[in-house]
Amino acid sequence: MVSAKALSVIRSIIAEHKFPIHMFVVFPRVNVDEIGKLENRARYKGSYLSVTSSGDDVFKFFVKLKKRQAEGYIITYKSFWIFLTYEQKTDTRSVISILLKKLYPLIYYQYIHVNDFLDIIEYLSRIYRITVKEYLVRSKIVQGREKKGKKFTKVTKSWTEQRFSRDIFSKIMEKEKGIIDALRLTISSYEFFADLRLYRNGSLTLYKGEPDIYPDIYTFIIEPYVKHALGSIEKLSRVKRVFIKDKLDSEIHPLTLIFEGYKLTKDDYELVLNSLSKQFFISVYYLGNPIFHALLTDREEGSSFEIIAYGNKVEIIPDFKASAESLQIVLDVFSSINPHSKYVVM
Amino acid sequence: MKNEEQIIQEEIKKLKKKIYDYIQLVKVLLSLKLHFERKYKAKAYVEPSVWYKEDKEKRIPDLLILTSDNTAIVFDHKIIESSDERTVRSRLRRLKKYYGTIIWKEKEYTVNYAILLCSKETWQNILNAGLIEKPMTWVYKLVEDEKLYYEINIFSPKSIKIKDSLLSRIISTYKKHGVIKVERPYEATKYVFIRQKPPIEYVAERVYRFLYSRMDPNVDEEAFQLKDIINEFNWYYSPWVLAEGEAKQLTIGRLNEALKLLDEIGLAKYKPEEGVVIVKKIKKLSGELLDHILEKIVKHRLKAEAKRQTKITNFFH
Repeated sequence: MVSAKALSVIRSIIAEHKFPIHMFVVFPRVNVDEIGKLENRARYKGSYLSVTSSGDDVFKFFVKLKKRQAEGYIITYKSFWIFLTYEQKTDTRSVISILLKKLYPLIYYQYIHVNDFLDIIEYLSRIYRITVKEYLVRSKIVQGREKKGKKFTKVTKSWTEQRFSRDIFSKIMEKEKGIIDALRLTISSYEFFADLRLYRNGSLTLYKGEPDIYPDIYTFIIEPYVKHALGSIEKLSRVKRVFIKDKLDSEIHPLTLIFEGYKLTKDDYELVLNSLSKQFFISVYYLGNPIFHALLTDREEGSSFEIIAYGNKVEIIPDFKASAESLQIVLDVFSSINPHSKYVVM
Repeated sequence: MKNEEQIIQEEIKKLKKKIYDYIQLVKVLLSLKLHFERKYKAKAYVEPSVWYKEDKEKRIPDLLILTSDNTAIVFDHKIIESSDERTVRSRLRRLKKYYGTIIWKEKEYTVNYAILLCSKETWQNILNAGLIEKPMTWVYKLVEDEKLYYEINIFSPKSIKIKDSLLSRIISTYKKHGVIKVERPYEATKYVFIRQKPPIEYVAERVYRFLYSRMDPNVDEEAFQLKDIINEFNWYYSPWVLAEGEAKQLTIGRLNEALKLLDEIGLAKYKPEEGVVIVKKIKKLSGELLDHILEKIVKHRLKAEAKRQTKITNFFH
C-alpha cells in the first residue's frame, strides 16, 4: 500500500478534472532511495529529468525532451511504481512513453499475455457493466497483399459500442490474425462511472471518472495486472545460463515457444528482425530453410539470446546475461506473429 | 568492372559463408559427440590431442570415439569446394594419417576407421571428381521435424569389412532405416569456438558482443582487463576436454587478434602492453551487427591494401 499523501495526490488530480489522466505502471530495478539515478539516465539519453521528493512514496517529476515537456508524479509501491500525469500542452502520453523508454533498463514496463489481459477485464465485467468503445489490434502485414516498404506490423483502431464479452475478442483476434493491445471501456454501475483505456503494457488513460475511483482502479486493474506481470517475470527469470564452477561447465535453461498449428515463415523471421532491431543488436547467422539462427543483444542493458527457429518452434537460448525484462520484449514480438503461442522453460 | 560497393558486398558475403560454415562445424561435431555419448554410452572427444604410437606424433582429429577398451574411430571433417580430381584426391589422402595405434590417457587404442565427415555440398563435389576409391563417409544435412537434427547418410566402400562392433551396429541401423538421425541439442550453444582456428571476424564479433553486454548502460566506453575477459568468457563457454586438461574456447591469442581488429575498425582502443582494452559503444546502427562489423573490416582491409599498392607504385616511379 501507499501513504495517505500519495492517495491524496492521486485523488486531487482526478478531482481537478485534469482529464485525460495517464498512469503508467512500471517495474524498477533501483531502490526508491536511488531514484535520482533516473535523472542521470535521462541525461545520458539526451533529455532533462528532475525528480524531487514530496513524501516517502511520492515524487514530483518534470521532463523535457527536445521540444516537448511534461510534469507529473511518481508513486512508489514496493514492487512497482506509477508514473502519474495528466494531459498538458503537448501529447503528454507520448512524452512519458518516450521518457520511460529512455529510462530502461532502470525501469521497465511489462506486456502481459493477451489472455491475462482479457482475464482482468472479464473479472471486472462480473462486477460492473463494461462497454467496449474502441480496441487496438496489432497484427502482422502479410506479404504481397498490403506489405509496403519495411513495415511488418500494423495497429488497427476500431470503434464499437458493445458489452464486453471474451468470446467477441477471441473472434476478433482470430479474424484479424492479431492481438489486442488496448481497449477503451466505459465501466458503470448505479453509483459509479469511468471512461478509460487500458493497455496490455500496464498503462492506463482515464478520460472520465469520479474523484474516488482510484481504489477501484487499483483493486480491479492495477493489482491483477501487477500480479500477472510479476508472475511472468518470475517465470522468465528461470531462463538463464549458470556457470557451475566445480564442474567447469555451464547449465542452460532455454525457453521454447510453440505455435500450435502454425508454421513459421521467412516473412515472420523478417518481421521479428524488423521489430527487434531498434532494441537489439542482431546478427543473423542463417535465415532460410530449415532454420532461422540469430543472436540478439539488448542495446540498453546487454542481455543476449540465441534464437533458433524452425517449423512451429522458437528456441530462445540465454547467453551469459539474460534478463526477464529483455526476454519479455522478444517474446512479445513473437506473439504478434501468432497470438496462440505457448512457452515452456526447461 | 565491379564498383567498390559490389566488391565490399561480395567480400561480406564470403566472410559470412565462412562464419556460417564454422558455426555448422562446431554444432555438428558437438551433436555427434553427444549422440555417441548418450545413445551408445561411448566416450567421445572433440578435437583431442592424441599421440600415435608408431611415429610418436601428436595429431588432432575432429572427433575421437572410443568404441571399446582398445578400439577407436576417428572423424575428420572437410569442406571441399572444388570437384577437381587432384584437389579432392589430395584432401582425402590426409585421412590416412589417422589410422594406427593411439595413446589416450595412458591406454592404447587401435584406430581401424578414419571416417570422412562432410556436408551434402562437399559430398557432391567428391562424387563429381569421379574417384574410384572413396573413404567411408558420413554425409550430414540439417533438417527439422519435431526437433532439429542431422540426417546422416553413410557411404561405406564395399572393400571395407566392419570389425568394430559399435560401428557395425550403426551401419546395420543405417541399412535398416536408410538414414541415421542425430539430434542437434540446445547444449550445442555452449560451444562457440573449437580448437580449429575460427574466422577472426567471427571472434571479433563475439568478443565485442560479450564486452558490450558488460558495459555500464550510462557510458559510451569502458575499460576491461584482458585476464578478466578470458576468465569470464571461458566460465560461460565450457572448455573442451583433452587427454590432459582442457582447451579454452577463447585463448589469449584469439582474444589478442580480435581486439587488434576491433581497434583497427574503431570499436575499441587496445592497449596490449597494459593488458587493457577500452570498448566503444556503437551508438547508432540500423542494420545487423555482424554486417556492420564485417563492412568495417572489409573497408579497412581495402583501404590498407590500396595504401600498400600506392607505396609499391611510388617505389617503382
